[in-house]
Amino acid sequence: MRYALIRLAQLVLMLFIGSIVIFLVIQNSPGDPALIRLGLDATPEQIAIERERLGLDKSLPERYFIWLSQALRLDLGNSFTTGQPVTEVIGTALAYTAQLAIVAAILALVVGVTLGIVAALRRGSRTDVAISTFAASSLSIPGFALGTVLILIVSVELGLLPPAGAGQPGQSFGAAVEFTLMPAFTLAIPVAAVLIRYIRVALGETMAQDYIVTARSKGLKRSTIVVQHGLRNALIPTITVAGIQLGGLLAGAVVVETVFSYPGLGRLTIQAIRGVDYPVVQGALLLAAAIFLILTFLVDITYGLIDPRIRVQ
Amino acid sequence: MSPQPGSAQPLLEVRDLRVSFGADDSERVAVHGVSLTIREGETVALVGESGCGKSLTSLALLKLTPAGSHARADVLRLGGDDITGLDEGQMSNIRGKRIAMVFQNPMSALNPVLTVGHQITEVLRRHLGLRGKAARARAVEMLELVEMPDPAGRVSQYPHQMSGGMRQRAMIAVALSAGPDLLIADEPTTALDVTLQAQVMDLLQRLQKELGMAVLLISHDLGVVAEVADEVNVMYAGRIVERADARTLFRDPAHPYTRALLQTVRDLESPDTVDLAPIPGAPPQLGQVIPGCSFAPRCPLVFDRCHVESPALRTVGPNHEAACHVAEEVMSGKGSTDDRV
Amino acid sequence: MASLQALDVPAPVAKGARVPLDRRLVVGAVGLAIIVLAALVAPLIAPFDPIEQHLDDRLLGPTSTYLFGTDNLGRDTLSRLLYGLRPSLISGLAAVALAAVSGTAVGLLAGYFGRWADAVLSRMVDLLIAWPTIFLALALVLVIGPGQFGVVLAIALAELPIFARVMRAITLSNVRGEHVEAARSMGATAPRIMIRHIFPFALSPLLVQFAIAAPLAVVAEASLGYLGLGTQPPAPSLGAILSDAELYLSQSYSAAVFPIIMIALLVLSLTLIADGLQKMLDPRGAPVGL
Repeated sequence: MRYALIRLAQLVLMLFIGSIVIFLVIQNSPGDPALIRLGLDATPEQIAIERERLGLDKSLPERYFIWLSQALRLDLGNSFTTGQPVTEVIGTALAYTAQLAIVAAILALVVGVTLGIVAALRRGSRTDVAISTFAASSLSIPGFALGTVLILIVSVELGLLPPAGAGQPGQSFGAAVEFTLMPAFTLAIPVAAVLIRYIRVALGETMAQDYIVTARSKGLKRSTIVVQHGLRNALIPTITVAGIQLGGLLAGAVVVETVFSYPGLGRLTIQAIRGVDYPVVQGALLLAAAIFLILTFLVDITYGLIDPRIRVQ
Repeated sequence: MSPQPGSAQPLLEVRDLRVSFGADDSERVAVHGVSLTIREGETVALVGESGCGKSLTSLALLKLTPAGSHARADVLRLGGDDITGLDEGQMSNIRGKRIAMVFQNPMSALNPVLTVGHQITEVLRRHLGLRGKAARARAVEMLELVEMPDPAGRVSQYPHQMSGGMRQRAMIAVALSAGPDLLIADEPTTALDVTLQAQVMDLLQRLQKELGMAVLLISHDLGVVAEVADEVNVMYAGRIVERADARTLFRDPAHPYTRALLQTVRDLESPDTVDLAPIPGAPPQLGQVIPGCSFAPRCPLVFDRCHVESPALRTVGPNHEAACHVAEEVMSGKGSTDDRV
Repeated sequence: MASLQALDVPAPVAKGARVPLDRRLVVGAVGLAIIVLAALVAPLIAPFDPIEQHLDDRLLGPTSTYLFGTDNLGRDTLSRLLYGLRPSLISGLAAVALAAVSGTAVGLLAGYFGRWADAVLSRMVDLLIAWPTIFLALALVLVIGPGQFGVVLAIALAELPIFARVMRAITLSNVRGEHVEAARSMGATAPRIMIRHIFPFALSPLLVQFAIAAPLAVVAEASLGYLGLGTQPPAPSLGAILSDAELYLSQSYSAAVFPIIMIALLVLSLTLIADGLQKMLDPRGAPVGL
């Protein structure tokens, strides 16, 4: 319990620091927001009024608190580009990214864990070598390269799946899947590769432990030994690794969404940065940071729950 | 199918057990033709310094030798049944149920993420079909049996929450839960301090009498063995070099190595047991091939024949075998280091 | 983009011990040498000016004039690739070097002075570790605008923690050692002790970390270039070339395939070097690639 509280405190602290950093970064970005909003023809008086309206004449800490309190009330301003409320813009994008991330996470976990276990139990065999090589090479290929190759082969050559976008809202489930499959796969592969390598080593080492010999000497069935004794131990640190990797999905999404022109949060952020749409950038970064930190926190808590050595103090 | 009490048939019989690592040119033999007979209710000790192959021997009886090793025997019989040809699945029916094992280091031998209770009930489930409440109740009984304080509470605890002595008791409880006919105890007290050692040995003795179990006790410490063993086998460099009932062995050793071991126990009144430092030289490494008798390089009674011919285990008295060309001289006390002092 | 490494401090190879040269290291080194050479002499061997447009020859596949084909503005892909290698190599190398130097400094200071210095520095490093490279890059780009400098800085910040941790671990395990005590008793100053008596122990582990970080940095640079955050057009960078090509995949894919192959070869060479080096200097660590 104490463990959870400590971690929670750390989470809040990190969120706080993150918000400060994001705020400072935006504040220090080139360009006068008032000028940007009003355009180059604005007169100095208009600019001054706008600056006052935007609160730019106040001190930095004051502005931070105003900004923070607005953000907490979910008032993030409007997009410079489209004028839509930022919350709407990033809300829609978030929905798409969430969809993508969930599919990718499931894919990564299923593929990664299964292949990792197989490789660990058949260490040194040809199956193991094949799986390990696959994992290693996947890690050498950057996401955008993999994605592009996939588009090339699956969409351009074979015409099986659409190469870009997320389709129309309200489309059938099958159609949505078609659009999500390749990006999810591209996103999942590096995570799966890390999982494979980790589980392979972790389970392999676990199976070499003394308590496995004890388990065998008790006459337990092989499946019992692998699952109850092997996996129970090996999966504990694996959860942390998996959690961290899944947290990194968000970062990976930035590239993958750009490759597939998938209208998620990542792509939105990049476009906003290039389009100098500060409110959107601010909102998106804030959201991304929050999601990321909360995910890390959840992983930590889960670890504490699962490992009895920590839980039962 | 355990043998009836008092039957002539031994509980466990193994003849010419060999365990080696590697193959062909790079084969390193760790156990060279060991034979053992264990009768029902008997305590047989297997004594020797670390690396002599005694743990490997015990693992081989359950076909649990580590990966990369080959174990084979001419005869391996349990309760009269030949078990040499049994596969892993069939062996798993025997392990835990008819032969169980207790290991040296309970902290690493017990699974750290499972409760002690679980580690007992999984044996009950596997071999006795017990589940749920019945299994749990039985687990508590087992902990009572091994004199664990507060058994009902301990059942849901994890190994790291217990002291060393309690962990060892827990491991014994786990091993005994399916009521095996033979318990193999591999250095059960080495990781414990002296007071606990005595307690655990007493416990084992008591349990053995109560349950009518046979015990194969493996140790490097003759002192521990002296109290409880019926028969003692002394092992050196992968071979049995002397076998006798306990009283005979301690009174009248027939092998120079045994005599030196006994000297160590007598000379040092200190509570710590010491491995064979007083004997000059060191035991052979795995794979090292010594012509003739493997103890020859360190033997005070060595002569030419020792370097040429490896002595076979032969009878030197009633219920007494030794593998030494001059066993008779050893028995008569000649050339003991007492003389030299 | 975080790397998978065990954080045990590896046992350094004894001085003068003969370790056989790992085959992967050789293959990787040769590959890298070829690529670096090609990048160096790009002005000499590139058949065309990389930003020169030949609007009549757009989106061609490989031909005798344009060995790797052309992109959507008729620029020769081969020439663009050769020139595009430079920012990747330079950024990657500079970023890792920067990370190594600053990370080592931080680790040394934290380990040597301990207590509050360690507490503060370690906290800061922990903060850095939490953030994926992309986030750092985005933040930097916002402040200083897109460009190579920002990319290098971002990657350096992302890789810094691993050097800091390794150096700190080694410092901690040596700072109470006899040789340090001896040096202190002879009046050696703190900087001298750190550099002459502690740092040498870290040479091989740091070298291994450097090798491991290099391919990650190159991949990061390419990804950032792909997103348009790195070297700005019309100057070529591997990632940017790919990004342009992607828009015209259905019409010609040589413009996409060749940069991918190039990147793959570069990353592969670096990974092989890292693996080979690791095998030779730190057999206990988990292998990075093949």
